[in-house]
Amino acid sequence: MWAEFWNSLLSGDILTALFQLLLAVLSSIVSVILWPFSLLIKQFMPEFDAGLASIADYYVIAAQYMGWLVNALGIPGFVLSLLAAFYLFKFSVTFIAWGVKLMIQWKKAVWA
Amino acid sequence: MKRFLFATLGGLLVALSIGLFGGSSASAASVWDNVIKSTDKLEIGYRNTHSEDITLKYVAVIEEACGPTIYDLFVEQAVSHQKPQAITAETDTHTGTKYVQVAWGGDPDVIWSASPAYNAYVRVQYNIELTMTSSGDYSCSSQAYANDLGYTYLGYSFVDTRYVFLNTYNPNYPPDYEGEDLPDTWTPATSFDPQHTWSVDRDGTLRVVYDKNFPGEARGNSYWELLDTSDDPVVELDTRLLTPYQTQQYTFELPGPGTYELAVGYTGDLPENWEDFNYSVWNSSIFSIKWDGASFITGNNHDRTECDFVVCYNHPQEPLGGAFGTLNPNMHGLQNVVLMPINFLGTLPSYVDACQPISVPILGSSQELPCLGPQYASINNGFIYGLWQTVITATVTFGVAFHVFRIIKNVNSPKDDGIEMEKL
Repeated sequence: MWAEFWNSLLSGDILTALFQLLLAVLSSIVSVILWPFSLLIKQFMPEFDAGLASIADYYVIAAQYMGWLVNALGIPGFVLSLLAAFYLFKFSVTFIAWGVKLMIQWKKAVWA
Repeated sequence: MKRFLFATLGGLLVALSIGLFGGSSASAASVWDNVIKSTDKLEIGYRNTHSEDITLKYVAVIEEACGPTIYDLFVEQAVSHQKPQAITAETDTHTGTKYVQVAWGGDPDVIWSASPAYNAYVRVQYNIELTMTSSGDYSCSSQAYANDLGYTYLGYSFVDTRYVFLNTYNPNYPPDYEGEDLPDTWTPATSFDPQHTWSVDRDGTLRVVYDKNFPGEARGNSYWELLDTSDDPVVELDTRLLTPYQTQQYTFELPGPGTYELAVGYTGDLPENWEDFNYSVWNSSIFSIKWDGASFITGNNHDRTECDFVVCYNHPQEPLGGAFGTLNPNMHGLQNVVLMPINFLGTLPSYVDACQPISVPILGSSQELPCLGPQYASINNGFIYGLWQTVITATVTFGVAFHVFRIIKNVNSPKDDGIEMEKL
């Protein structure tokens, strides 16, 4: 994801780069937080780990049929891009707002 | 009531704006803008029964199916860039049969024609059409034009649509052309890293799953090999023939606790005259397995102890790329649960022009459902299809704008977001 962000940034596609940056940051934070738990599960509960890994298979299967479904429903590309951007915005805006307010709190605490 | 009227008026205004100012037809500057359609994939097939991706092996298919004379001419004149070439892919919308056309030589310029419909074509000296027979064998029909030249269409024509894979004829784009560019280069991926996972059951059954299609061709001795490396000398226990293009599970039996080596040797297709394509193949991978005789253990590409490969990497593969993000099925554990939906959302825009016919079981037999977009576009010259797309776009745009406004308005509201707010 970070590689795609850099590629978009270097190619001048700022809007796509911005959303890819948000996606990469979000994914990285979640990965860091959940990584020790995933390691423990993989070590002590391998069957459960295999079960969690198989969740991805559902999305891979869905991805195989999504192209046909989008074509059958006649959904334009702009709509899909807009929906993807909207949900990314929705997931990230509260996080960003919380981050900004936390920084303001720290600033007030430091300068108070 | 007022809100309903306001919402309806807003939707109509958005639809009107999109109809007046949006859409590719409003921004098209030349009548040929919608002619060229490109692809980075070559596929041949017979109806709904056989198909094969030959993107990385079309040269080998020409060699096998068209005979040495045509193959030598193609390599000497087209692959070596002595003469221009055009490679297109086409699917018969009625039968589902897939074709790949390879043409080279002739006039060096692309011709943009307006009769009987806007189209582009090249005058060629040699023309090859690859497809498959009903038994799944490669089929080649070739034509050499001695005096008069033949022709091959590029992109949309009044007959069908030939997706352009490669074109090195002079494009000579018409004035004010703003359509898709004719692809004049193509470089295959420089590395392939097929994904393998293995597991050893408590009874010693070693299962190896090869879960990504390797787009190459097995040559020579391509096989899995299980070795017992517990003592000297190393003992070869068993081998399994490797079959490409399929998800395969191979099963071995470990005789008991010890150290084992699971090796796979695989040679990809590397024909001559491909030096300029910078083509790399996967050669071999070795997994070291230490089994205590009782535990269930697993491993995957991350655990490889050796990888003999021109470019070989041990990080998760990113197979399904999109304009917006990648669908990475190699995440593990809890990250899967949280991140896969988000990643899936990110790949949504990549599905717009990615329609492939799907097979569904109906009444005990597998039926292939074709892509319906071309059928929609042919109804009333695509007027209803265009209107439907405009309505969807307007509705979704209005809904997204409304919700974005609401989210921004409620950022400071402690009732409407999931993060605890404090007085600042």
